[in-house]
Amino acid sequence: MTVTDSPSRALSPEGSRNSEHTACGAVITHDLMKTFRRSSKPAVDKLNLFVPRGSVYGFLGPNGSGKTTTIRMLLGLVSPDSGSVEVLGQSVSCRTSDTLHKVGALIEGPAFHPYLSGEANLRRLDAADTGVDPRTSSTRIGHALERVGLTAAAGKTFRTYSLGMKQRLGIAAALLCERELLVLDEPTNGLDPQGTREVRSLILELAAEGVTVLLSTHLLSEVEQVCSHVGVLRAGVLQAQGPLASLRPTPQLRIVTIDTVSTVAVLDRLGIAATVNDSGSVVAAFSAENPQPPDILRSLVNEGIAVREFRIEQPNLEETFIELTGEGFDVSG
Amino acid sequence: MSAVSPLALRAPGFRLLRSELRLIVGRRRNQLGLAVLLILPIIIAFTVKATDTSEGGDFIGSISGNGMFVALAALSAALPLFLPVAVSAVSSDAIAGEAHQGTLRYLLTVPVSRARLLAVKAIAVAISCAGVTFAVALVGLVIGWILFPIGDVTLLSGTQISQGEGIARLVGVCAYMTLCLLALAAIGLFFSTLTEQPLGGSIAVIILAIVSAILNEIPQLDWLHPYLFVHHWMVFGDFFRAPVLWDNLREGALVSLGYIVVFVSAAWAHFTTKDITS
Repeated sequence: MTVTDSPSRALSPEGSRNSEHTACGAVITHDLMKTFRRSSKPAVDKLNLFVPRGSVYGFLGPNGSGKTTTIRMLLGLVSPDSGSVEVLGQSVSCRTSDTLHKVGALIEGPAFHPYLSGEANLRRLDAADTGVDPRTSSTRIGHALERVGLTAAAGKTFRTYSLGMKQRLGIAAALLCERELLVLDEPTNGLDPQGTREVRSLILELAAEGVTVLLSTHLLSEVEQVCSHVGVLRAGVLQAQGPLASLRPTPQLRIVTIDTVSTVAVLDRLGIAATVNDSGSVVAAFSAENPQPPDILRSLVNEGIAVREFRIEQPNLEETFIELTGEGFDVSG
Repeated sequence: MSAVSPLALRAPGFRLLRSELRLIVGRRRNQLGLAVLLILPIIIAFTVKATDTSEGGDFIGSISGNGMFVALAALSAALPLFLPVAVSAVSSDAIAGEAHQGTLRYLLTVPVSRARLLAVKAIAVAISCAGVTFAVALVGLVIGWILFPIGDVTLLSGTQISQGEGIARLVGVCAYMTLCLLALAAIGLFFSTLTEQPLGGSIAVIILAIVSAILNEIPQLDWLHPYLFVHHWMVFGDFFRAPVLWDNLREGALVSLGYIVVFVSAAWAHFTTKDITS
């Protein structure tokens, strides 16, 4: 796992490209580069993505950070300037796209023929697939529609669908046949809270069946709820990548007391390196190896220290995300 | 179609083509365009019937002698503008229409190889070109036979041929016209790979057809004329000479084939390598 400008974060060694890793990666890119014409800066810059098989990989990044370009390269829609893409163990290019049979995708929102019904749109996509049995077409379409709760609206024309229904149809299209990898670009966009929950549980359900999910999103709560792995992109550069837990900053122990000096001493004896911060609180990084909070508190009280406040703070992913992608609101060009 | 060979058409390769044709036929715009084209022979037939003329060029004068000429008069009236407009609309919609809607990225990630998608689109456009030409002829034939006599066909040169041979020559005209329109469709298909705006592509094709027709009228440019795709369009009448004058028809067919090869290749070269960002 790679971390560019925050070496303190515990992440696994970079470039773990041994054969064992290659075998269990659903998506692997090597030094992927793409610069669009009429643009001086690369949209994607030396990207080494590693999506382990069976993972739910949260692909994070601000708008315009190159997520969609990356996804388009993974699916053979855009050809990289250099570098390589491997999806489900086979390399992907514009010309050879057979590996994509096992990949379901939702790219930059749903798009269907407006005057065809939802069902007819799925039938058209199914007709285009030479890798499936036409005789099972109706069953699979019905099943996909059912999975996204669209059975009742299957016969309505796509143009009459609400944004959420369109999104559901897009997910249904990704589930038309058995997939090993799902690439979902902002799948809950436009969905109502119930729909959002349903999609999340659907993702978890699919993951439990062994499907790898690459989830591009900027909803951090979504990532925290469903993802096992995370990659953070900023201006085309991968800032960090690895299991979600590794990206989460370490919890912080915070004690408010007058006896700061003796508190630091007690904590030191317990093996916790503490400091006094600007506001006069004693703070320390807290990890699972440290003594449990009740034990720490007991030690402090036994020393006669008056503890006013004692808490373990769990910094949320948002702070990490902002830290990795920058504060600025402006879209990086 | 399924009655002909249900098994072959259910084969995976044909499913996409059927879906494609259904999409073209199902579009309200295309249905309206076809309706307008099919009214043309009916208008011609009723006008000739009402005025009872046996004069006029472009086969109109021959209608009262044999109803079959309604088909030829209608085709000849539709060829300069109506048919090119129809062909330009369908052909430039092929790729650009899907790109415009965003459905192209989903088709390609199904996956469908780009060469296959282009081939299916090209075949569907070709079938549309043939379909619309033959439909105009068929409607002309039917309305002509209802309103006017059937029988031996008197050619422009005065020679008489049997009704059967007349029909065969009409089929020849339709085939030749289809080939001419396919040259235009190939250009439309190429434009369709360049843009995400189907309307833009179709306007470009029509402009090209008009410019080409104008250039064809300028005598000083006669060295250029044989290479213009519209130059040989109107020679289809040579099918109704005795004997058939093959020279111009052969030349027209070759020029059309040349355009088809060049522009389909260009479409293939561009579409199979371009970045799909729609």
